[in-house]
Amino acid sequence: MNSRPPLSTASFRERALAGARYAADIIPPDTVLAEIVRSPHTHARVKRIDSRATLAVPGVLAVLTAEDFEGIRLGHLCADEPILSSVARYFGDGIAAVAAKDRQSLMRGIEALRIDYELLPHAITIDDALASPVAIHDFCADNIAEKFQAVRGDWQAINSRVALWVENTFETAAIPHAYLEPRACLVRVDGKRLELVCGSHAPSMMADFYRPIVAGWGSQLEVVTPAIGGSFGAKWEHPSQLVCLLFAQRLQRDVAMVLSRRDDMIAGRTRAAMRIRMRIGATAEGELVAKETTLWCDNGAYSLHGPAVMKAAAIRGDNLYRFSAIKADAQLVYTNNMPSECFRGFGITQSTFALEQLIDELARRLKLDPAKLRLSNTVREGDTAVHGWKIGSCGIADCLDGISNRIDRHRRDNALPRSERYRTGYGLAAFIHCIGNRGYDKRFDRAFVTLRTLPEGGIRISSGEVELGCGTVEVLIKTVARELATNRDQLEVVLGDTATGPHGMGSYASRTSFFVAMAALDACRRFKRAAEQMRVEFGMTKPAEIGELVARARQQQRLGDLEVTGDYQPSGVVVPDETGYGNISAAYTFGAHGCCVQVDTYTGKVTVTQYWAAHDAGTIVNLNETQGQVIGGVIQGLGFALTECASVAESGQLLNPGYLDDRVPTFPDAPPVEVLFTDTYEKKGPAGAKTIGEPPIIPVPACIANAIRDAVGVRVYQLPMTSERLWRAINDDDARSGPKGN
Amino acid sequence: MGSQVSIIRPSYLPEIELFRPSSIDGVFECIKDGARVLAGGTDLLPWASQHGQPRKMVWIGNVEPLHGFSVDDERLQIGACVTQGELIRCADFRRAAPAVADSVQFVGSVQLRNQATLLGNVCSASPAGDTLPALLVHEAQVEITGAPGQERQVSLDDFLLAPGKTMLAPGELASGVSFCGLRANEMSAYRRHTERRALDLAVASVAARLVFEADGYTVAGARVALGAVGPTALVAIEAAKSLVGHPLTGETKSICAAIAAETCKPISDFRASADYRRQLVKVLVEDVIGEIEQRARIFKPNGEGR
Repeated sequence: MNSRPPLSTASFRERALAGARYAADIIPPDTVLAEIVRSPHTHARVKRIDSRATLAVPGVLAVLTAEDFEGIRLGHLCADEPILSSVARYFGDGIAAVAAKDRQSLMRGIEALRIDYELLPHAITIDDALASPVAIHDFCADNIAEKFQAVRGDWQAINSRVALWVENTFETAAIPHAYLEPRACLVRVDGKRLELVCGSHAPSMMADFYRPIVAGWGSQLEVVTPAIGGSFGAKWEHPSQLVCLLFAQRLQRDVAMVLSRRDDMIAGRTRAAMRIRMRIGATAEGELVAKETTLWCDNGAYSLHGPAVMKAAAIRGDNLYRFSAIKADAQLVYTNNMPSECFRGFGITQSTFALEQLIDELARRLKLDPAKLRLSNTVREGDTAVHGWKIGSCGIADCLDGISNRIDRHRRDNALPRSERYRTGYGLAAFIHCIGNRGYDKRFDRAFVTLRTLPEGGIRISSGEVELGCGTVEVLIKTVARELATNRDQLEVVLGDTATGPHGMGSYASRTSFFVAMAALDACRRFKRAAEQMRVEFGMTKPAEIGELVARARQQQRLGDLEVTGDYQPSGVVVPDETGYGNISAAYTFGAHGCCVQVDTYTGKVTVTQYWAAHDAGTIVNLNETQGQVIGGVIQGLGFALTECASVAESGQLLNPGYLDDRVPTFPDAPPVEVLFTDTYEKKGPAGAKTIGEPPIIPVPACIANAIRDAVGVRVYQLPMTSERLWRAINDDDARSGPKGN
Repeated sequence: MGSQVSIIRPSYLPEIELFRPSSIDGVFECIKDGARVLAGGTDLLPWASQHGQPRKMVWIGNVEPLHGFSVDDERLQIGACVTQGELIRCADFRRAAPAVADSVQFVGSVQLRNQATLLGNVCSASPAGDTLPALLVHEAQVEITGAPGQERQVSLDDFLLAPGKTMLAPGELASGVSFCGLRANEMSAYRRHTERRALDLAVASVAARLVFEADGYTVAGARVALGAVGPTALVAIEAAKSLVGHPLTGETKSICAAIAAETCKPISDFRASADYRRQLVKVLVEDVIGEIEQRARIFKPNGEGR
């Protein structure tokens, strides 16, 4: 039994009014505090840990080391991350953990800990790791965690059709997720039951993963999700949670860990850095024919979702265009960097930086308008795309038209005298994205929504999906209020509570709004059926108000009959084959972005002066929130494009664990963003809706890169495109010749 | 291979023994006792979180005389506790020292400036400290108090020794900073390059103060100072000298910029390379002088000089 009432999930309004409570806000004052003690070495074997002095510090309660987590590894796709490690594989890898009754005892305890290491040679670049004789993991001698290959089409036949190839090598940077709420978790103990309270975008999946581990300690586990201060793909399984769980289980006391900003950034998860060699071939008339990709993905020290991110980057973006032939060859490489993790766009954000620049370059070479070149090559409704995606509603043409018109008008209205120093340019980039990914979990891709009539009145909507800032609460309330013709104030939403709600896959693959709304519609149908049955039974003649019916049901102790669970599973989707072929999603989203940049050629400084984002997200359910999601994604992309980077010294030490030197854009950096939506209607979606989610960040770096090329005639093939890099490119005659091609 | 460095200390403030005297005498007792001076705390507290020390601090915010600041015709005198926010809201300050006002506006964010003191920025002695080049061109002097009643004035140029190092000796307190206000026919400005528009450190920065002849064109005197291109903020004497006696033209500006770029001493680090910093100095020197020219024009009656 759950002893506490479930925590209702804060809406946008409550968040805006500072009413939301995050994990760190919920920690009671007498809670035991824990910290992970991290390695200052990039690659080192732990020889000895001396915790005697630590345990002698008054107030210190326990110390954990690798031995306490023997045989336990994190990683859905490749279980290779220890909770505490006997080998430090990156600067900041967790070696030991200390729990104490208060912060000061904890800090004294940590300072008293002695760890002896044997230093090992480290590899922090992909090339070093591939060349290194030193294996980062014993089971992987060549440091290649995984390989992926896909070949489609007739490569013999295409050679005669391709009149022009454009090719280049692009590099993207590792960047932290830069959520506002640093990692925090609280474990509450209730006998054998452990309750993990932490902001996560996939609480049920975390519970699935942790339950067998916790069961091995003789305990049960539930996960509760308070307000989440951003995740962007980072906040799921993390060693800090299992450390708190084990301390709580051993000490039989509530235990909490709140990371400081710096430690959160060192404790590491980043976007996977990639090197992408890509070429695309087209006919002389501009018909896209073939694409070949060779990709190296920096996995960091541990795999997390690395294999899936690498595969997505290698092929997913191809589905936007009618390529006849595709080759992809990708490697996931272990390095002594922070572990990489999925991050808004799941690898496609990285590869779009390459693909959309090559398309732009192709248009330039063929002297075609870049929007028109795209328009004549994109998939259309009814197509089966090159990797098996079955295209339903598709608003890409409207998006490209919209952006193209905006750019033309802006160019016309803002004609400036040509300045020697400042140059202006326009860029455009497009993308395709999915709504859920049947391939993510081999078991299923589905969502549930439970409606429960509460004894005190009102209806509780619960789901294992979460409110990540995508407006899940609003989607649920709007859907249920409309379907059941009830007032919003009669509805309470509880998300991500495994003890009281149904299972949920979590917020990834831009799936949440679509899936919860479909499941809510199903739940409402079931609810109405149950209510109708009850009305007949009670002999109520005319269609009753819900309130009246509930009152009768309560009198007769029949409220349980008004508890229903709706379910949604997309139809026609499959787990893709090992080459990534298959229709993974019920519907697909599209978009195109455009921007105007001003480049200071003396310093290389880029200022984005105007941005346009056109999205096909189906019917828009919440206009304000959807616009907000788009603008947020664009600004996040601006940082990825121009300023953000995890700077790592040759020693492997992270040089910028903070927002001073990890330059996430600030408000003054944000350009005006005009958001456009197509009026696409998706038959398979809830009331015609699709989703917004990840897409707004995907085309941003390529869009800005194309505008820079337009302004100054050169490209910076490496993210972030800093002032210095662009200044060098402008002053480098070789760079002016553009991408290699035949 | 073995190693002595055992752990990364979690970034949390250590236990701090904090003294809050209300008199200068009280402050000196604490300093003698080894306490570090805490004013705004925007540099010291993050440092302490990261390094676990200092663990003994004396907050000087209760000492009334350290809050004073005065702007008279000749000199501005700013007490140790005066925040950058207070200064920027003062119109007399903005008029008297435009370069310093420019520089203060770049420091951190509104919230940080309301907490951070001007003298704190000076004592942190960061090579990239925004106010330092501006204060240098305004001929700043730091007031050092060795003991109650024992005061001396040190020029800022002498005061700054190395990154994070000043000539402040143990047991001494930097109690204020003073600098020249603009006189007739003078103007100053500060510019910097950052990757981000706010909350960022200068990759390179330049301040200048020019004195014009009565004709309004010819430079009678000049001071140029550079930030983030040496171990401390630097006075670019040769560059400034090149302007004197000439009217401002594209050519004189570019000569001055070239000398400044040549004489600065930048390093390469993860923020920027040395040669890019030199390029920035070149661009910023011309920009700053251009800004001064514009401002000088605006301040002239009838737009004379246009």
